[in-house]
Amino acid sequence: MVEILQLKPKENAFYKMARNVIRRKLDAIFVCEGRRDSEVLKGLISKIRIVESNLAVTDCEGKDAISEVTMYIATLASVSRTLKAVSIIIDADEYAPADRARSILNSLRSRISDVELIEIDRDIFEIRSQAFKVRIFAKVVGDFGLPYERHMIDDYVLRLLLLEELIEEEETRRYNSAKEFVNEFIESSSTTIKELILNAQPESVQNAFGNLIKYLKIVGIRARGS
Amino acid sequence: MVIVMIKSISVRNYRGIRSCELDDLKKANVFIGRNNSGKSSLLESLYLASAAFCFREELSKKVDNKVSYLLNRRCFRGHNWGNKEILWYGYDIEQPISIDVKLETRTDPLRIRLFSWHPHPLVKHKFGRGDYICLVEDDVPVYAASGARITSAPSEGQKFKREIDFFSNFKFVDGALVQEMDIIEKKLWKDLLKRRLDKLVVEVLREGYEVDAEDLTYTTYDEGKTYQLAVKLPWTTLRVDDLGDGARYAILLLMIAALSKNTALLIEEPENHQHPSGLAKTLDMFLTLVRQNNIQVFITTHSLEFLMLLRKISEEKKIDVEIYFFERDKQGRVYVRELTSENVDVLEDMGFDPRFLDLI
Repeated sequence: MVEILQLKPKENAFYKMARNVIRRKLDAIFVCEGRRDSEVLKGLISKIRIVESNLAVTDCEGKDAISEVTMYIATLASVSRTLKAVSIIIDADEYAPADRARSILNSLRSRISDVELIEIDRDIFEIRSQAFKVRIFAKVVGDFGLPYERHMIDDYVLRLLLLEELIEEEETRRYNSAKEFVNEFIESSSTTIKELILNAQPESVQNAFGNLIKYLKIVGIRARGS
Repeated sequence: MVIVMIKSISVRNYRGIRSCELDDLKKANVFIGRNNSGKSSLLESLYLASAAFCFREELSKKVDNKVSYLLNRRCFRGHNWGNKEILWYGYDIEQPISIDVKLETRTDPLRIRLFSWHPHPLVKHKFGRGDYICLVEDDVPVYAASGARITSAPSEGQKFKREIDFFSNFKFVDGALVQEMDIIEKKLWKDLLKRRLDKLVVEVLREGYEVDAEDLTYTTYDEGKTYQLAVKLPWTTLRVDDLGDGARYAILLLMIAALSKNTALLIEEPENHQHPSGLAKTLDMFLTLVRQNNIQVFITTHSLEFLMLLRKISEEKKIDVEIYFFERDKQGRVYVRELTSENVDVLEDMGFDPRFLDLI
C-alpha cells in the first residue's frame, strides 16, 4: 500500500523522518489548498494504487492559498535537488480553471520572471521556468456540474456520495456549497473521507474523481520517469 | 575600511571530504546536515588553512600547534605528525590535502597544500616561482595562482598584513576546549580585564543562566600555587569550574569572541548543554561582538532552536546569515545547498524540517 508522508503537523512528519520511516528520497510533494484536499488525495491513492512514487503532502489551511502556494513553489524549486515534481491542488472557487492557474502564475512572476503556463488538460497545467530544477504541476479542482457558485474538492466527494446513492440529489440544494454538505455528512455518519473513498465502488470513484485520477497519473509518471 | 572575509572555499582530500565547494559565504555561516556529512571536516579544513599563516595553537594546553590540535581534538591520543594519515580522506596520503580560499580582498585564490611527504608540516621547501608563496614565519607552503609572493619582508609582508592577521587569529571553539578552561583563563583573563570586557560575561551569566553574579575574579584556592576564574555572588565566590556546562561554555565563547578582531571563529555545535534562554542570551552577546569586532563565523549545528535564534538575532543586528545543508555521497563528495532564512521559514511552514533536506 502506498503511504503518503503527511507534512503537517510537522511534529508527526519529523518523527517519521527521524525514525527513518521514510527511507527513500521523495519523488513528489503535493501542495494542497486545504486539509480536505490532502484527505481526498490520500484516500484516492490508497484506493486506486496508480502511484508508486514516494510522495509527501502538505496544505495551506487557514492561509491565503495563492500566496502560500507561490512561496512553496519558489522555495522547493530552488532548494530541492532530487525531488522530481511539485504538484499543486487548488480550488477553482468562483473562477474558470485557467484563470485560477494564471493567478498562481501572476503571483509567481513577482519572484521569478520567466514563468509560463502550459495547459495539459482543461484544468491541469504545468508551470515552467528556466530557474526550476523540478517540474511544477497544478490541478484546479471543482465539479462545475454542481449547482454551487464556488467549486472545490468537496464537489468530487459530493459527486461520489450521489453516485453511491448515499444521498439524494435534491438534498444538495439545501446547502450553499459542497463543503457544507460534505462536512455535515461526515459528522453525522461518523466516517472519514478516506473510508468513503475506500468503501466506494471503483466505477463511482473513477467517475467522481476522473480528472483528479488523470492528474495523479501524470504526476506519478513524471515523478517516476523523468 | 577594507574588511577581509572568506567568500568561497574548495577542499579536497581532508578527513571526511574527498571534495567540497562552498560559495557565497557570508558573515555568519551555519552548516547543517546529517552526522558524517562533512560539516566538522569543513570547519577543520579552515583551521588547517589558518595553520599556514600561524602554526601555533594558542588555546590548548595539550598541544602546541594547530595540526596537532586537529590530529587530537576528536579524541586525545597523543597523535603527532607520524600519525598524519588520519587527516587524509580515506587515509589515502598519495594526493595532497588542498584548500583553496577566495577572499573578498583578493581576486586570486589562496592555495594551501599539505603533502604527506613533508617530514614535518613546518618543513621549509624551495618552490619554483609561480608555484608557492612561503610564509617565512610559519613554513607550511601557501601559494597563489598569480605567483605573487607573501613574505615577512616589510615591503611585501605589509601588503598582505590584513590577510595574514585574519588567518593567524582563527580560533576553533569546540567541546574539547571547555575541558581546558584553566589555560584559556590564564591566556585571556588579563586582556579581558584590561578592556573591562569581563562585564559582558557577567551580564550574560546574570541574564541567561540565573547566576546571581556581581563580578568575575581571578583568585587562588591553594595559597597562590594556581589561580582560577571565579564568579562573585552576593554571599560567596563560586569557582567557574563549579558552574554548569552551559554557563562555562558561554564564558569560554564570549571571552574568545570579545578578544578576537578582524578574523574568523570556527564553532562546533554551540547548542550543547544549553537551555534556550541561556543560548539566546549568549548568542545575543556573541553576535554583538561579531559585529563590533568584525568576526566571520562558521558554525555547525544540529539544533533548529539554535538556527531560529541565530536568524532572528542576526536580523536584529543586521548580520548576513546563510545556512548550508551538507550531504555526502558514498565517494566522499560533499554537496552543499544554500538556504536563505526565508527558505527555512517556508520549509518549516510547509511542515518540512530543513535538517532532512537530503530527502528532496
